[in-house]
Amino acid sequence: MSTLDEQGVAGLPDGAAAQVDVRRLRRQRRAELVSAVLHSKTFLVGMGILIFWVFSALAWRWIVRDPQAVDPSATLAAPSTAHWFGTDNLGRDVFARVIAGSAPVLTIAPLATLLGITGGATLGLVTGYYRGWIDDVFSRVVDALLAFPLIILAVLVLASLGREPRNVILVIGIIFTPLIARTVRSAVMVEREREYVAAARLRGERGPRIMAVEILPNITGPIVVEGTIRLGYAIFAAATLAFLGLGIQDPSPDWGLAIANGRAYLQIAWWMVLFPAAALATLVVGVNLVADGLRGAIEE
Amino acid sequence: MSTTERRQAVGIEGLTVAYRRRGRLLRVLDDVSLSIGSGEAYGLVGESGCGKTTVAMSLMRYLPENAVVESGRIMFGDQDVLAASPSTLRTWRGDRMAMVYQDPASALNPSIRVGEQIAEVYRFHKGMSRSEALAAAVEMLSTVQISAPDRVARRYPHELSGGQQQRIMFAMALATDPDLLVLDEPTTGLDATVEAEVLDLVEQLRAQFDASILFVSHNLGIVARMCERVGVLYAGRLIEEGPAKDLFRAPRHPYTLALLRCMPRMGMRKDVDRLDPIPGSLPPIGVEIAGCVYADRCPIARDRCRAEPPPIEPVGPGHGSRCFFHEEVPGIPALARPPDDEVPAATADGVLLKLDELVKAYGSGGNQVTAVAGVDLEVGRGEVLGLVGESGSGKTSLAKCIVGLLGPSGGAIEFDSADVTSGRRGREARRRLQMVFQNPDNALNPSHSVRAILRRSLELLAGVRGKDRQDEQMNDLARSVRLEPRHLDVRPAALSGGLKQRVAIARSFAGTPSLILCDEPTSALDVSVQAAILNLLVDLQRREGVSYVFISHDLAVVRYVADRIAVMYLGQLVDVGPADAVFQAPHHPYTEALLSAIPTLDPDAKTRMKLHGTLPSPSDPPSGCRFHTRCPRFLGDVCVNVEPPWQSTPDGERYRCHIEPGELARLQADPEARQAESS
Repeated sequence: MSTLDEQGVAGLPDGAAAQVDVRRLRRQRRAELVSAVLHSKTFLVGMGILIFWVFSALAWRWIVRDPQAVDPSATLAAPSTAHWFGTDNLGRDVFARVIAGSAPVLTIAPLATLLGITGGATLGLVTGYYRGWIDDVFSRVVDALLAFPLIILAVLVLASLGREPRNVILVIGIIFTPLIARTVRSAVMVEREREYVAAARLRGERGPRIMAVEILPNITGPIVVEGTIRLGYAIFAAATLAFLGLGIQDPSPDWGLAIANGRAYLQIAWWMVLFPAAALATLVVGVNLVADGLRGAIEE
Repeated sequence: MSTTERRQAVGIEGLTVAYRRRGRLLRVLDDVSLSIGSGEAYGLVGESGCGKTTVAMSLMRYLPENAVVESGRIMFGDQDVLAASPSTLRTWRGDRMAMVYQDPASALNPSIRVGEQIAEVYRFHKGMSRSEALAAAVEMLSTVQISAPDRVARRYPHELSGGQQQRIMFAMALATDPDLLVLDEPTTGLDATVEAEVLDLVEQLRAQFDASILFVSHNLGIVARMCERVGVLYAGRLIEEGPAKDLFRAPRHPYTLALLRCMPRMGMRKDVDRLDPIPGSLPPIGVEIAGCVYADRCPIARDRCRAEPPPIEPVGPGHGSRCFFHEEVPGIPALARPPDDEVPAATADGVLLKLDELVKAYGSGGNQVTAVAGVDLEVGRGEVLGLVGESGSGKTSLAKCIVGLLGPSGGAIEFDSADVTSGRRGREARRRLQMVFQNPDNALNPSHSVRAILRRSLELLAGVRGKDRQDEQMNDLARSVRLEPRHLDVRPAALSGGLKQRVAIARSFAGTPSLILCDEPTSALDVSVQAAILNLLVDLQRREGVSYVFISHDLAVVRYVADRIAVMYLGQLVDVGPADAVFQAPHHPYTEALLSAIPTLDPDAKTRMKLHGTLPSPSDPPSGCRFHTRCPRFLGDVCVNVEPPWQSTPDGERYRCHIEPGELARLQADPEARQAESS
């Protein structure tokens, strides 16, 4: 990377290189990051998959037939030109339901991740910056929490609070919070030792401002990467809860729910399970590819 | 000795290397040719980014994957390294060519005992059995002067000091008696006294082994001492080459001359001499330059220099310079004017900072480490106090206690007659007591623009409110450290090291402080930039009348800026006094050792005083005099058992030693006595 140079201190004219336009440098740096991302095949493939599903989630109403339309005359029909992915036990079109099924998962997972990131970043900043007893208490709590199988924890909470999507978001987000906080905390612990933090303390900045204004902007890279990785997990978690009957309820075209429903017909109608499962897999893989690509570009 | 008498061991011919970055080829070496005779030591010097490590790596063909050798040959004996097959290279490396790196701690495998690591070389290259190889490794350890080699061979790298680790690296490199030894900044991370030891070792090893040496370093003093011939690299081109003595005594390229002039030499004083920085900076990597690469910064450049690249012109026996006008070089006047005496130098009147038995301990119970063990110190108004000591001496802990980043464990800090011992301080104390950090990359928040950084300091320290008033003061502040307005709107990453340090200095001056702690403010910078920053610090100090506590491991720098000097060893002060007095005998034996460790450009250097052993752990300091385990003037039981008293010399210096000033002066004046004492 080119840098601005030492000016002509002793009165000699500046070197030719000193005439570099400052704005151009800045734009160039941003362009470098974008170009690194766009040169990563991993990222592009993942982004392609992700864009496809986001588009489906937003526009399924206009591109596929009604996923709730029941056709009693064509139940459990095998894939054909009329029904590309076949029909389910009520005669609903599986293709339409797979496309439309991206909507609930792409609502719940990002919101849950956002909640986890917000909570995790805050907790990570506080524990990583202050250390001491706050950090000790937090670490023990996380250890205790992780000793539980998380799925049982989720089942317990959802069973007692109710199964609305809002609670699913809350549960996933809250379980993610300490996990994300640990990643953020380790990044904060590296940053807090750097001298710009000491300089901020020397001019009398207070803790919250140091965390939010000095440290946070320098750890956005790890937070973004962690967020995308967690998004993949959140998609999986939402589908798992739906499969267990704890998330979204019938007649939603949600994939987890569809897999649960199709399980009973697996012997005679494999398409009822295969296509929603494949859809779920592509989305998770796509998100993970994006995460890998981002991490590669940011760490370069 | 001239090269013509020697057989050529290594010949680099027209080496041009580029790095591929995002599809672009950035050229870092351009048509570099040099040859090293057998048994000769060739020094390659230059500032960071000039391509010297790329030369070293090319020799070993250890270049990173994105490196492209565009043209050139590297003849090793009569074969081309660049054309050798991977299997040939594998047998050459380690057997016929070996390398010692800058950081021994990361070059050694931390999970294998050092004896095994050396033995591996013998087993692989000499086909020795396990036990033979281990025996050979132990023998090699004694060759590199490691005491108790049997025991050391069974240790892991982390159990050894930096100096010992570097000896292990030398043992590994020399195990196969290579024809070529590449030393890439082998002493850069080491303390001055350890560096001196390692250099002594290299000199002695050269008498035993017949390897040709490529010595890569940014330190001209070291190269002057160690090498017979020297090449100066600038922006990927070899701009001057010649015998070390001629080159340093009578440089014939403007850049070499400027490099020599910008170094603070021992004995230079801020009130008499001014450092001569090199204006401008290195051209960015990968930019094609039609003419001479140095033309933009050169005081004697003409149109011709910008139009065509100068060839190497012979200027003396074995001495060549890539300059059309090399004959004019000796006549280039020094740029720097002597300091204008219109502003009188601030004189020390009254005590500004007073430390009383200051103690800083870390940990608790059995793990306690006392980094600062009872320091009494005063800093006067407008005074520059130089603080000197090796790493582990506690100088940084002391500095952090003074500015309030750490709360001391005991003792008191008085600042302008007010007690500021506790870490919590009011705005007034913060405003008046600021710090400039060692590494400007770390000390400036990379996410904030320079303007945002300075504005916040003005707001909090100077209490300036309102955008207009802040902008106005910011321009004054920027001007005072010679930053231009265009530098204000960028983030630190877009600035060079020197400019970043100017921003950091501006920030510390935002609230018109009374005392600034400078913690190695120039050690992360190249010498040409260091000169500019030191000039700036001296100017600001004179104009604003502030005091500095100036921490540095570079004694020439400390001597240049400091009015008084304090020397620390293992958490204690051992020597305090006016700068002249401390640097002249009589002084504490530790100060004496530090001073004699400085590599000078004077090729006829005198014998050096050596320190024995390594710095003891501050968690278990030696009894009596803390320095007695390494002291070259060790007296006997009294040093082991009795804490030494403070002695005062007539010139106002105080040191902590059992030897009285008169006696010490006699010992230190007499080179024979020194020899007898230190051997």
